[in-house]
Amino acid sequence: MKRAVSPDSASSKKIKTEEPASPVPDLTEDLLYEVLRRADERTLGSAACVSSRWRRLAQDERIWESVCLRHWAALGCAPGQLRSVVLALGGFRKLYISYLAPTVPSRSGASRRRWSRDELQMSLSMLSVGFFSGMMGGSMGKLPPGRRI
Amino acid sequence: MADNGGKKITLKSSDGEEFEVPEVVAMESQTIRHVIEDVCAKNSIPLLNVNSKILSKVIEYCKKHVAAAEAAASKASTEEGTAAAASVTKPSDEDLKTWDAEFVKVDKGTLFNLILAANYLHIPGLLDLTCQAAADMIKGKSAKEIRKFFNLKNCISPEEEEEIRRENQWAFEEEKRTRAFDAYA
Repeated sequence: MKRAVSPDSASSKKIKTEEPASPVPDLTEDLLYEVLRRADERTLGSAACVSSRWRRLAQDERIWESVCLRHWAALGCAPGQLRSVVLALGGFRKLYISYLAPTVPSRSGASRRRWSRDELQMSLSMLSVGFFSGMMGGSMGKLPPGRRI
Repeated sequence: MADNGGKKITLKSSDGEEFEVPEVVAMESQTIRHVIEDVCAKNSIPLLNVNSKILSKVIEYCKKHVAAAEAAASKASTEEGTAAAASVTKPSDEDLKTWDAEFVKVDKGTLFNLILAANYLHIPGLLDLTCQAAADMIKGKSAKEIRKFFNLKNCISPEEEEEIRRENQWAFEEEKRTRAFDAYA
Protein backbone atom coordinates (compact mmCIF):
# COMPACT_ATOMS: atom_id res chain seq x y z
CA MET A 1 0.00 0.00 0.00
CA LYS A 2 1.54 3.33 -1.05
CA ARG A 3 1.56 6.00 1.61
CA ALA A 4 3.45 8.75 -0.17
CA VAL A 5 2.27 10.26 -3.41
CA SER A 6 4.49 8.77 -6.06
CA PRO A 7 5.40 10.40 -9.37
CA ASP A 8 3.64 7.46 -11.04
CA SER A 9 0.24 8.60 -9.76
CA ALA A 10 0.18 11.50 -12.21
CA SER A 11 0.77 9.26 -15.22
CA SER A 12 -1.60 6.59 -13.93
CA LYS A 13 -4.29 9.25 -13.47
CA LYS A 14 -3.75 10.21 -17.11
CA ILE A 15 -4.51 6.62 -18.18
CA LYS A 16 -7.50 6.28 -15.86
CA THR A 17 -9.33 9.35 -17.20
CA GLU A 18 -9.65 7.63 -20.60
CA GLU A 19 -12.18 5.11 -19.29
CA PRO A 20 -14.20 5.36 -16.09
CA ALA A 21 -13.73 2.34 -13.83
CA SER A 22 -16.65 -0.10 -13.89
CA PRO A 23 -18.69 -0.61 -10.73
CA VAL A 24 -17.39 -3.64 -8.87
CA PRO A 25 -19.94 -6.49 -8.64
CA ASP A 26 -20.03 -9.00 -5.79
CA LEU A 27 -18.68 -12.42 -6.60
CA THR A 28 -20.74 -15.44 -5.60
CA GLU A 29 -19.32 -17.97 -3.18
CA ASP A 30 -18.43 -20.52 -5.83
CA LEU A 31 -16.51 -17.86 -7.78
CA LEU A 32 -14.72 -16.68 -4.64
CA TYR A 33 -13.71 -20.30 -4.19
CA GLU A 34 -12.37 -20.35 -7.76
CA VAL A 35 -10.25 -17.25 -7.03
CA LEU A 36 -8.95 -18.60 -3.71
CA ARG A 37 -8.16 -21.94 -5.31
CA ARG A 38 -5.56 -20.12 -7.39
CA ALA A 39 -4.08 -18.06 -4.58
CA ASP A 40 -0.76 -18.81 -2.92
CA GLU A 41 -0.54 -20.19 0.62
CA ARG A 42 0.25 -16.98 2.45
CA THR A 43 -2.62 -15.17 0.75
CA LEU A 44 -4.91 -18.02 1.86
CA GLY A 45 -3.81 -17.42 5.44
CA SER A 46 -4.69 -13.71 5.21
CA ALA A 47 -7.91 -14.45 3.33
CA ALA A 48 -9.08 -16.69 6.18
CA CYS A 49 -8.98 -13.65 8.49
CA VAL A 50 -11.32 -11.56 6.34
CA SER A 51 -14.66 -12.91 7.58
CA SER A 52 -16.35 -16.15 8.74
CA ARG A 53 -17.41 -16.91 5.19
CA TRP A 54 -13.90 -16.33 3.85
CA ARG A 55 -12.47 -18.39 6.69
CA ARG A 56 -14.63 -21.32 5.61
CA LEU A 57 -13.65 -20.89 1.95
CA ALA A 58 -9.92 -20.33 2.55
CA GLN A 59 -9.71 -23.37 4.82
CA ASP A 60 -11.46 -25.69 2.38
CA GLU A 61 -9.59 -29.00 2.23
CA ARG A 62 -9.84 -29.18 -1.57
CA ILE A 63 -7.79 -25.98 -1.87
CA TRP A 64 -5.15 -27.26 0.52
CA GLU A 65 -5.04 -30.57 -1.27
CA SER A 66 -4.02 -28.80 -4.47
CA VAL A 67 -1.53 -26.66 -2.49
CA CYS A 68 0.13 -29.84 -1.18
CA LEU A 69 0.03 -31.53 -4.58
CA ARG A 70 1.88 -28.54 -6.08
CA HIS A 71 4.78 -29.33 -3.79
CA TRP A 72 5.07 -32.99 -4.63
CA ALA A 73 6.71 -34.11 -7.85
CA ALA A 74 5.45 -37.71 -7.56
CA LEU A 75 2.76 -39.14 -5.32
CA GLY A 76 3.55 -42.82 -5.65
CA CYS A 77 -0.14 -43.63 -5.17
CA ALA A 78 -3.55 -42.67 -6.50
CA PRO A 79 -4.71 -39.19 -5.42
CA GLY A 80 -7.88 -40.72 -3.95
CA GLN A 81 -5.82 -43.03 -1.74
CA LEU A 82 -3.67 -40.17 -0.53
CA ARG A 83 -6.77 -38.08 0.11
CA SER A 84 -8.46 -40.67 2.33
CA VAL A 85 -5.28 -41.15 4.39
CA VAL A 86 -4.51 -37.47 4.83
CA LEU A 87 -8.10 -36.50 5.64
CA ALA A 88 -8.24 -39.24 8.28
CA LEU A 89 -5.04 -37.95 9.87
CA GLY A 90 -6.05 -34.31 10.10
CA GLY A 91 -6.26 -32.97 6.57
CA PHE A 92 -4.12 -31.28 3.95
CA ARG A 93 -4.17 -27.89 5.60
CA LYS A 94 -2.72 -29.31 8.81
CA LEU A 95 -0.17 -31.25 6.78
CA TYR A 96 0.90 -28.15 4.92
CA ILE A 97 1.10 -25.83 7.91
CA SER A 98 2.85 -28.30 10.23
CA TYR A 99 5.23 -30.07 7.93
CA LEU A 100 5.50 -28.36 4.54
CA ALA A 101 5.37 -24.63 5.27
CA PRO A 102 8.53 -24.59 7.45
CA THR A 103 10.51 -26.04 4.55
CA VAL A 104 9.29 -23.67 1.85
CA PRO A 105 11.87 -20.96 1.00
CA SER A 106 10.66 -17.75 2.59
CA ARG A 107 11.92 -15.51 -0.18
CA SER A 108 9.32 -15.40 -2.92
CA GLY A 109 12.04 -15.09 -5.55
CA ALA A 110 13.69 -18.36 -4.58
CA SER A 111 12.74 -21.31 -6.76
CA ARG A 112 10.60 -23.87 -5.07
CA ARG A 113 11.99 -27.36 -5.26
CA ARG A 114 9.36 -30.06 -5.61
CA TRP A 115 9.44 -32.84 -3.06
CA SER A 116 10.33 -36.39 -3.98
CA ARG A 117 8.23 -39.39 -3.01
CA ASP A 118 10.45 -40.11 0.02
CA GLU A 119 9.94 -36.61 1.36
CA LEU A 120 6.20 -36.99 0.84
CA GLN A 121 6.25 -40.27 2.78
CA MET A 122 8.21 -38.56 5.54
CA SER A 123 5.68 -35.76 5.86
CA LEU A 124 2.84 -38.30 5.96
CA SER A 125 4.65 -40.28 8.67
CA MET A 126 5.07 -37.14 10.74
CA LEU A 127 1.41 -36.30 10.26
CA SER A 128 0.37 -39.75 11.49
CA VAL A 129 2.75 -39.58 14.47
CA GLY A 130 1.26 -36.21 15.36
CA PHE A 131 -2.25 -37.63 15.01
CA PHE A 132 -1.66 -40.68 17.19
CA SER A 133 0.23 -38.81 19.85
CA GLY A 134 -2.69 -36.42 20.07
CA MET A 135 -5.04 -39.39 20.46
CA MET A 136 -3.03 -40.83 23.28
CA GLY A 137 -2.82 -37.50 25.10
CA GLY A 138 0.90 -37.05 24.57
CA SER A 139 1.78 -40.28 26.34
CA MET A 140 4.04 -41.28 23.46
CA GLY A 141 6.61 -38.85 24.68
CA LYS A 142 7.44 -35.29 23.89
CA LEU A 143 7.37 -34.53 20.18
CA PRO A 144 8.63 -31.39 18.50
CA PRO A 145 5.85 -28.85 18.91
CA GLY A 146 3.86 -28.55 15.74
CA ARG A 147 2.31 -25.27 14.80
CA ARG A 148 -1.01 -24.52 16.38
CA ILE A 149 -3.79 -25.13 13.91
CA MET B 1 -9.72 -16.83 -39.34
CA ALA B 2 -11.24 -18.67 -42.31
CA ASP B 3 -13.86 -16.48 -43.89
CA ASN B 4 -15.57 -19.23 -45.84
CA GLY B 5 -19.11 -18.01 -45.17
CA GLY B 6 -19.41 -20.00 -41.95
CA LYS B 7 -22.63 -19.65 -40.06
CA LYS B 8 -23.01 -16.48 -38.04
CA ILE B 9 -24.85 -16.07 -34.79
CA THR B 10 -26.09 -12.84 -33.25
CA LEU B 11 -25.49 -12.32 -29.55
CA LYS B 12 -27.54 -9.65 -27.83
CA SER B 13 -26.19 -8.03 -24.68
CA SER B 14 -28.34 -7.06 -21.68
CA ASP B 15 -28.30 -3.41 -22.81
CA GLY B 16 -29.58 -4.30 -26.27
CA GLU B 17 -26.41 -4.18 -28.36
CA GLU B 18 -26.07 -6.91 -31.01
CA PHE B 19 -22.84 -8.67 -31.91
CA GLU B 20 -22.64 -10.87 -35.00
CA VAL B 21 -19.99 -13.55 -34.59
CA PRO B 22 -19.06 -16.77 -36.38
CA GLU B 23 -20.82 -19.71 -34.79
CA VAL B 24 -17.51 -21.41 -33.98
CA VAL B 25 -16.48 -18.39 -31.87
CA ALA B 26 -19.82 -18.30 -30.04
CA MET B 27 -19.50 -22.03 -29.31
CA GLU B 28 -16.46 -21.31 -27.11
CA SER B 29 -19.20 -20.68 -24.57
CA GLN B 30 -20.69 -23.99 -23.51
CA THR B 31 -23.87 -22.23 -22.48
CA ILE B 32 -24.32 -20.86 -26.00
CA ARG B 33 -23.31 -24.20 -27.49
CA HIS B 34 -26.16 -25.89 -25.61
CA VAL B 35 -28.62 -23.24 -26.81
CA ILE B 36 -27.49 -23.70 -30.42
CA GLU B 37 -27.40 -27.50 -30.31
CA ASP B 38 -30.30 -28.35 -28.04
CA VAL B 39 -32.77 -25.53 -28.46
CA CYS B 40 -32.59 -25.64 -32.28
CA ALA B 41 -30.98 -23.00 -34.45
CA LYS B 42 -31.49 -19.49 -33.18
CA ASN B 43 -30.49 -16.44 -35.08
CA SER B 44 -30.27 -14.15 -32.09
CA ILE B 45 -29.37 -15.24 -28.60
CA PRO B 46 -30.16 -12.80 -25.80
CA LEU B 47 -27.64 -12.78 -22.95
CA LEU B 48 -29.47 -11.09 -20.13
CA ASN B 49 -26.59 -11.20 -17.66
CA VAL B 50 -23.86 -9.69 -19.82
CA ASN B 51 -23.64 -6.04 -20.85
CA SER B 52 -22.18 -4.86 -24.16
CA LYS B 53 -18.82 -3.77 -22.77
CA ILE B 54 -18.16 -7.13 -21.18
CA LEU B 55 -19.63 -9.10 -24.07
CA SER B 56 -17.32 -7.39 -26.54
CA LYS B 57 -14.34 -8.36 -24.34
CA VAL B 58 -15.58 -11.95 -24.11
CA ILE B 59 -16.00 -12.13 -27.89
CA GLU B 60 -12.50 -10.71 -28.33
CA TYR B 61 -11.16 -13.51 -26.11
CA CYS B 62 -13.09 -16.23 -27.93
CA LYS B 63 -12.05 -14.94 -31.37
CA LYS B 64 -8.40 -14.90 -30.35
CA HIS B 65 -8.46 -18.39 -28.90
CA VAL B 66 -10.36 -19.90 -31.82
CA ALA B 67 -7.90 -18.28 -34.24
CA ALA B 68 -4.93 -19.56 -32.23
CA ALA B 69 -6.36 -23.09 -32.15
CA GLU B 70 -7.00 -23.00 -35.90
CA ALA B 71 -3.48 -21.69 -36.59
CA ALA B 72 -1.94 -24.40 -34.42
CA ALA B 73 -4.05 -27.11 -36.07
CA SER B 74 -3.17 -25.98 -39.60
CA LYS B 75 0.54 -25.73 -38.76
CA ALA B 76 0.46 -29.21 -37.24
CA SER B 77 -1.16 -30.67 -40.34
CA THR B 78 1.25 -29.00 -42.78
CA GLU B 79 4.45 -29.86 -40.87
CA GLU B 80 5.85 -33.26 -41.83
CA GLY B 81 7.25 -34.47 -38.54
CA THR B 82 5.51 -34.22 -35.17
CA ALA B 83 8.76 -32.94 -33.63
CA ALA B 84 8.86 -30.06 -36.09
CA ALA B 85 5.18 -29.33 -35.40
CA ALA B 86 5.81 -29.25 -31.63
CA SER B 87 8.63 -26.74 -31.99
CA VAL B 88 6.47 -24.56 -34.24
CA THR B 89 3.47 -24.46 -31.89
CA LYS B 90 5.57 -23.39 -28.89
CA PRO B 91 6.19 -19.76 -29.96
CA SER B 92 2.45 -19.32 -30.67
CA ASP B 93 1.67 -20.69 -27.18
CA GLU B 94 3.95 -18.01 -25.76
CA ASP B 95 2.28 -15.34 -27.91
CA LEU B 96 -1.14 -16.46 -26.68
CA LYS B 97 0.03 -16.36 -23.06
CA THR B 98 1.36 -12.83 -23.60
CA TRP B 99 -1.92 -11.83 -25.21
CA ASP B 100 -3.86 -13.35 -22.31
CA ALA B 101 -1.73 -11.46 -19.79
CA GLU B 102 -2.46 -8.17 -21.54
CA PHE B 103 -6.15 -9.05 -21.87
CA VAL B 104 -6.64 -9.20 -18.09
CA LYS B 105 -4.89 -5.87 -17.44
CA VAL B 106 -8.18 -4.20 -16.71
CA ASP B 107 -9.78 -2.44 -13.75
CA LYS B 108 -11.20 -4.50 -10.91
CA GLY B 109 -14.83 -3.95 -11.92
CA THR B 110 -14.22 -5.17 -15.47
CA LEU B 111 -12.25 -8.16 -14.21
CA PHE B 112 -15.00 -9.22 -11.79
CA ASN B 113 -17.61 -8.78 -14.51
CA LEU B 114 -15.48 -10.94 -16.80
CA ILE B 115 -15.36 -13.62 -14.10
CA LEU B 116 -19.15 -13.53 -13.77
CA ALA B 117 -19.58 -13.62 -17.55
CA ALA B 118 -17.10 -16.49 -17.99
CA ASN B 119 -19.02 -18.42 -15.34
CA TYR B 120 -22.46 -17.63 -16.79
CA LEU B 121 -21.37 -18.39 -20.35
CA HIS B 122 -19.36 -21.40 -19.22
CA ILE B 123 -16.01 -20.59 -20.87
CA PRO B 124 -13.47 -22.59 -18.83
CA GLY B 125 -10.33 -20.97 -20.29
CA LEU B 126 -11.60 -17.44 -19.62
CA LEU B 127 -12.76 -18.36 -16.11
CA ASP B 128 -9.33 -19.80 -15.33
CA LEU B 129 -7.55 -16.75 -16.74
CA THR B 130 -9.68 -14.17 -14.94
CA CYS B 131 -9.77 -16.01 -11.58
CA GLN B 132 -5.99 -16.39 -11.71
CA ALA B 133 -5.68 -12.66 -12.42
CA ALA B 134 -7.90 -11.87 -9.41
CA ALA B 135 -5.85 -14.26 -7.22
CA ASP B 136 -2.67 -12.49 -8.37
CA MET B 137 -4.24 -9.12 -7.48
CA ILE B 138 -4.74 -10.15 -3.85
CA LYS B 139 -1.38 -11.92 -3.57
CA GLY B 140 0.48 -10.90 -0.44
CA LYS B 141 -2.33 -8.64 0.79
CA SER B 142 -3.30 -8.53 4.44
CA ALA B 143 -6.85 -9.35 5.56
CA LYS B 144 -7.62 -5.63 5.88
CA GLU B 145 -6.36 -4.96 2.35
CA ILE B 146 -8.36 -7.89 0.95
CA ARG B 147 -11.51 -6.55 2.66
CA LYS B 148 -10.89 -3.15 1.08
CA PHE B 149 -10.26 -4.76 -2.31
CA PHE B 150 -13.58 -6.64 -2.23
CA ASN B 151 -15.48 -3.76 -0.56
CA LEU B 152 -16.33 -5.91 2.42
CA LYS B 153 -17.26 -4.58 5.82
CA ASN B 154 -15.43 -5.94 8.80
CA CYS B 155 -18.29 -7.74 10.48
CA ILE B 156 -16.57 -10.38 12.57
CA SER B 157 -16.47 -10.08 16.33
CA PRO B 158 -13.08 -9.32 17.93
CA GLU B 159 -13.14 -12.73 19.66
CA GLU B 160 -13.65 -14.59 16.40
CA GLU B 161 -11.04 -12.44 14.68
CA GLU B 162 -8.54 -13.30 17.42
CA GLU B 163 -9.33 -17.00 17.06
CA ILE B 164 -8.89 -16.90 13.29
CA ARG B 165 -5.63 -15.00 13.59
CA ARG B 166 -4.31 -17.65 16.00
CA GLU B 167 -5.30 -20.37 13.55
CA ASN B 168 -3.47 -18.61 10.76
CA GLN B 169 -0.49 -17.33 12.72
CA TRP B 170 1.81 -19.40 10.52
CA ALA B 171 1.10 -17.10 7.55
CA PHE B 172 2.15 -14.02 9.51
CA GLU B 173 5.21 -15.73 10.90
CA GLU B 174 6.31 -16.48 7.36
CA GLU B 175 5.77 -12.86 6.44
CA LYS B 176 7.94 -11.74 9.36
CA ARG B 177 10.59 -14.28 8.35
CA THR B 178 10.58 -12.99 4.76
CA ARG B 179 10.81 -9.35 5.83
CA ALA B 180 13.59 -10.06 8.33
CA PHE B 181 15.48 -12.02 5.70
CA ASP B 182 15.04 -9.32 3.11
CA ALA B 183 16.33 -6.69 5.56
CA TYR B 184 19.64 -8.53 5.69
CA ALA B 185 19.75 -9.46 2.02
